[in-house]
Amino acid sequence: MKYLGTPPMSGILAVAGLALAACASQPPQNAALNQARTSYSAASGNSDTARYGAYPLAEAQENLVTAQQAWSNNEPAGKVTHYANLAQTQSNIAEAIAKRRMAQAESVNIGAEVTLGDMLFKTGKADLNARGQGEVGKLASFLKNNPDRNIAVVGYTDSTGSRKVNTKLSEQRAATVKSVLVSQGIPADRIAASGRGEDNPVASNNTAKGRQQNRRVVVDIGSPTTTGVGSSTPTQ
Amino acid sequence: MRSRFSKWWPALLAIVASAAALAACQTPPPPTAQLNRAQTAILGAQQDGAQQISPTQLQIAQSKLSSAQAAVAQKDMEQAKYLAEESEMDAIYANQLALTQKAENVQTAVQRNQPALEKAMKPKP
Repeated sequence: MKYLGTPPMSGILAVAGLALAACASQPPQNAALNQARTSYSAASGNSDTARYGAYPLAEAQENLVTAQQAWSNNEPAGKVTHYANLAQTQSNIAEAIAKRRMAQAESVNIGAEVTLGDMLFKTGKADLNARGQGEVGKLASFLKNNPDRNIAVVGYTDSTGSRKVNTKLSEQRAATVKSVLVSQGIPADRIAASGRGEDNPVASNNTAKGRQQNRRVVVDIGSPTTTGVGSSTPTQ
Repeated sequence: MRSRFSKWWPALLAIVASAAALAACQTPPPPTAQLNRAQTAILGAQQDGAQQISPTQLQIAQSKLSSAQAAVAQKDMEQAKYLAEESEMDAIYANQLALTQKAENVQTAVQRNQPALEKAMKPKP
């Protein structure tokens, strides 16, 4: 009787041992997830990318966590790969944006005095937030100190609403920046204002945070010149 | 005749309604919003010259959008949504790469002190 009771128990232990061994010999591997992790580490480890690509990097991290959790929970590989792919592309976007900011900062040679920060707006609104006001103030003093430089101000929206309304709204956003500059004594003909609606998103319109990044005005500073970009006729 | 029909019509209505509800359960709606966003992002990238500057990334975005549409046709709505979201992100990347390349061209021109860069800095019409 005593003998009969033991073999099943040892059998269970043996099976459990085998299962454990199988786990140990197959460490979690998902090519897309591994690659995304590597790319994210590289991007966030670069100080310029971490600074100028902060938003896409935060998105990348979020998606990386989702991919990792899906992997740990044995969810379908398609889901893991999807979130890993998003994280990968967002890390790449962060690098591309940072590279551009560096190139712009160097080509306008203004150093830390005026950052070419994007000015963000509320949904459906064209008035500047406090940070935007500060950016425009810095831009005004830059233009006063550099009378040979003109600027192009381009407004954008997120993808909420119709294309027609968005184009109009993006023009209003650019016009707001222009009018603040003019009120601070900058001649209107040095500023070309235009709007491109929901085009050229910098982030996905799929999330509220992404849409916020897209409601923006971008300022391009022209090279030292006698004619300048401002000579291209403002559209509104 | 008439009274007999009117006796039965609530039951008929119930059957039709539940059949419709079942059909709706079986096929989730296509991810229209995600597909539209991908399309918009691809158009924006093209307007910024991605076709010339970052064709590889633009191509990835376009082929993922095509795959997403194929998934819709096969009623695999989850896969369609995944692909459409990735397509949008790939198009944003292609767009950002194009803008960065332009900024780097301007930078090179500034370094060489060439006046030809007004053209590059001009906003799009």
